[in-house]
Amino acid sequence: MDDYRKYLDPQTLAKVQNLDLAARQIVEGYVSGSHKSPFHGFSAEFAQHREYVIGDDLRYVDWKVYAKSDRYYLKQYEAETNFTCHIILDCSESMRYRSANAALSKWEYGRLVAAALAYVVIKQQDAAGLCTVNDHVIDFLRPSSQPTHLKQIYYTMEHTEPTGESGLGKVFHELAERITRRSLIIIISDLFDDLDSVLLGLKHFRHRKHDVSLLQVIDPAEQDFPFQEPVLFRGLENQPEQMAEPRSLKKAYQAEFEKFLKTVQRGCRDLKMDYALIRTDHFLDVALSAFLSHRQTRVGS
Amino acid sequence: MFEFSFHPVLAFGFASPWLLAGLLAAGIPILIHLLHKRKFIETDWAAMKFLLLATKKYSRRVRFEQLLVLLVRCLILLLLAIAFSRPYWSVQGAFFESAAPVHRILVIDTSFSMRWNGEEQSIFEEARELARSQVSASNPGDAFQLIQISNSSPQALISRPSRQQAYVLEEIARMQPTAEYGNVGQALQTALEFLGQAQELAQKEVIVISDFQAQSWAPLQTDQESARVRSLMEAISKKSTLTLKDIGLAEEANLAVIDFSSKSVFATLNQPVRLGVTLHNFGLLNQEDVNLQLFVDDQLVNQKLVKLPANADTQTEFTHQFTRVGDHRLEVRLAEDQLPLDNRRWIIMPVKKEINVLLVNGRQSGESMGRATDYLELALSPSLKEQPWQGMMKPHVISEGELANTELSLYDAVVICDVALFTENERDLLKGYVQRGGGLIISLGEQVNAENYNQTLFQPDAGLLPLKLLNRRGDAQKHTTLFEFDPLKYQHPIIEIFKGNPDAGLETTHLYEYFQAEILPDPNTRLILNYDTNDPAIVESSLGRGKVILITTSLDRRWGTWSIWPSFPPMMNELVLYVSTGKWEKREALVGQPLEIMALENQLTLSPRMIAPDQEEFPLQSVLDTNTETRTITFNQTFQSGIYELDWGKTSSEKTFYAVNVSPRESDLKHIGPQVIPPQYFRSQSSTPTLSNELSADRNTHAGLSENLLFTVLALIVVELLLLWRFSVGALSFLAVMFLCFLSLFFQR
Repeated sequence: MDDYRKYLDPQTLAKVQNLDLAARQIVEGYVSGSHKSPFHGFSAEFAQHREYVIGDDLRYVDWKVYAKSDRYYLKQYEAETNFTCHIILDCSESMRYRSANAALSKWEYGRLVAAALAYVVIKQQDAAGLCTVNDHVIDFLRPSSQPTHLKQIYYTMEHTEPTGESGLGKVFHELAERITRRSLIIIISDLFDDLDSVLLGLKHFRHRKHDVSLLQVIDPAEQDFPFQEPVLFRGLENQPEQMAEPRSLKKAYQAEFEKFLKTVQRGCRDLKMDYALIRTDHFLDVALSAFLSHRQTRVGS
Repeated sequence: MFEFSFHPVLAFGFASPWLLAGLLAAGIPILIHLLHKRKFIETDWAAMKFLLLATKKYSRRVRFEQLLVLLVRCLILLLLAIAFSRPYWSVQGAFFESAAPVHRILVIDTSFSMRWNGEEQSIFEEARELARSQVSASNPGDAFQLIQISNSSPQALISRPSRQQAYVLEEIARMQPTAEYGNVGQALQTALEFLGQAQELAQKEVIVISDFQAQSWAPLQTDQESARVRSLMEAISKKSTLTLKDIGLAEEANLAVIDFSSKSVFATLNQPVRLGVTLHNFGLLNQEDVNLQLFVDDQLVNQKLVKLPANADTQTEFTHQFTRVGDHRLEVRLAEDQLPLDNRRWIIMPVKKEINVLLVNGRQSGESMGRATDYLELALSPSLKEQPWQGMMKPHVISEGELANTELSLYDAVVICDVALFTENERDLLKGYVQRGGGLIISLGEQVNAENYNQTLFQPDAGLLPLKLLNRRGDAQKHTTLFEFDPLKYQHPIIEIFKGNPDAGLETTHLYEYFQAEILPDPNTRLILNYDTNDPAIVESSLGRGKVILITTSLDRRWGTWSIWPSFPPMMNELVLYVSTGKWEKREALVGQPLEIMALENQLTLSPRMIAPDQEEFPLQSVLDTNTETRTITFNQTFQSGIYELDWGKTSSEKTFYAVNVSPRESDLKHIGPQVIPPQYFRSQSSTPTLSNELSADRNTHAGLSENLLFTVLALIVVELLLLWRFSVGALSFLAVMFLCFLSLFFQR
């Protein structure tokens, strides 16, 4: 394993209590591997120079300035300065689920992803905001590019517990109304909700011209259904209990689950949104790159 | 049970029903299923929506799948258990005979009447053939046991149920007719006991192959025995199918020597001996001029033609004079018929030159005829100077003091005359001598110390005679009272010769004095003579192999005139002869009865062997190992009739002969009547071929059914795997297997 990758292992990250540290680990680990930042503006109109930081795309280095001053400066464009990012993090009770073999619950994993993304965004001096939701908006942190804001985001996530039922459709509608400025909206959720209303909510975002990315976090057990012995499943979010014979039910369950994932995927494709399926047993770079690389090709094109 | 016309339409059963316990194993999958359900883990679950949807949609199908898999697993174990229990079925009858493995007990008569020779073979050969066909035509799973109807030979030939046909056939081939009579009751009892074995085989059959001779099956003389045979047959028929195969003869003539004997236990040289022969013609026709021969030491010495009236005894006699001392083998032989075994009979006649009698004199005297033994010696050996006595009695007189130092075993009899006292040592010597077959006569007299006699010779439990001497009665000096003998109606064989012969003077013998005696109750003691006062005069008792006689008066002139009376010499001779027979062991026995062999002092250390008529040798255990006290050896292997030679192993002259004869019971070939055994027990032999056909047909049904089930089990194991792999394929294959299984069962039927 490469050195930096150890910081991306969920097993390792589960031991890191400090979200700030964890986010830095992830980003530095990831960026030192890729050297590419996928976040770029929407316009080609030059606005100002800013000093080069590690991770910036060398394509934007102003080589003329470098020739004169012997320093690396990047050319910044008009829209880039207006870049705002809203991270919507699902903290309904279903996110609390962690299977026996997973190091992190979906909530913890999603939180790490959110922290890492916020870190990346704010580090390149764009504005990032956080919105924790279940069936209503719990916290709404307006986007800001201040480094202190990052701390605010971490603090909020650290002090939020995943509870309550999810009602993402309603919440998305509400947020679509609230976020007036065209932004990048990153949704981190398991989407265990009424899928039709969720898709409607997402459509609302798209209608408002937001750039929406969906990161669906699932537990490996939810996809693999690895149970052998009879299991009494206790439903989260006020779902009933169910006694089941896993070996005989496995195929049927997996069929239903795959059908759900496919519907989500198809919905995102239809809405021209970025979509990535993240399992909590995957390394975080896998999760991030699945999302970011995809995004980069889109932005690049 | 005996309605053989009963034919079930469909019968079903198990050859090894105890293996059906394996059916319980079919509950194992169900049990595992239930236990499996009871054990579960709990977990929180977020993706409940999909689980509920899956459960709702698929639970019915899942349950169906589970039930089918469970059914297949149970079926596998169920069919396996049934297959191992070897099920059988039979359609359209013949169920009881053949369908299932049967526990068959063959009872074959081997008594000597089965040696009757027919035109081609003996009826025993016929019986053996029938038994062999029964075994050959049996199922492979059938168990057999074999019993022979004999008497002393072991009856159980195969005492554990055997499923090995070859072994049973071998045992049948090894069977030989015996020379014994058939003890039917004992054989049936054994068969009844055998029925308790092989519990796993529900069907039992007892097949009796015999000539059904009335003497064996319904002995007229003993109602008790024939009732026992009937009740045993009833008991057997309750537990099994009893089949009697009669291979006997309707009415067949048979001639037999049923007795050959002599009144004398031994003969003396040059004295003619009368030998009585009893013959019997068991047929319905008179037989004229049948040749009867007498053989002595295998040499024909005499023969005659006899008439044998139908169904009656015929007595005849031979007279023979022996010219050589020693054991002689005598045989009478009747002309051969179809059952030759009972046409010969043997006896052994020992021939002695002389009988040695030891006279113990208790009173010495210088006078002529003054000793206590003088008159007795004269009576036994009346020698004259000019003509020495040539008789067989050889008396030898000793004084009482010499008794302890005399080898008593050299004498055939010892007579004590007026001996005053006995020591315990002398008593023990005499006792040992009598126990080993010696003869002892004790006579009393005026010197006798009654108290000493009571303490030594007549001591209770340790003495020679169970009696007690009391006071002397009468006065020999003054002749005050005169006593005479009371012959007690001449019942005893010794005084039988005086019966109707008053001139012999037994009842007119005069006596003046005697000892009164009290006879203690004892089964071996009997009175020979009384006095007219009702006191005992001569008492006889037996001790071990020998005999003891007490004469309560004296044998000289002191106490009466008996010693000069005509009754004295014959009486003394008879008494001595009578007591000396104890030394002559019985030399005859019937087949199966033991021979008692007595060893002499000088033979004790030898290792004798008995040579049977077929020259087979049986080493006998040394006397020292068996019974030193009585010096007897018992020989039990008298399975054949004829002469048995006992070889003491030293010189050929020391051979002793014994005669063993067949029991006359088996000579009567009269057949049993239907009034004794109900006819339904008998099945005609013609049913045998049909039986074997049924057997071969049913054998397939029996074997095929188990195989079929085992194939189904194999197929179901594959089906189970298919069900787990792909349910639809598994379910289809299950249907196919079931269909094929029923189809094959249908065609098999």
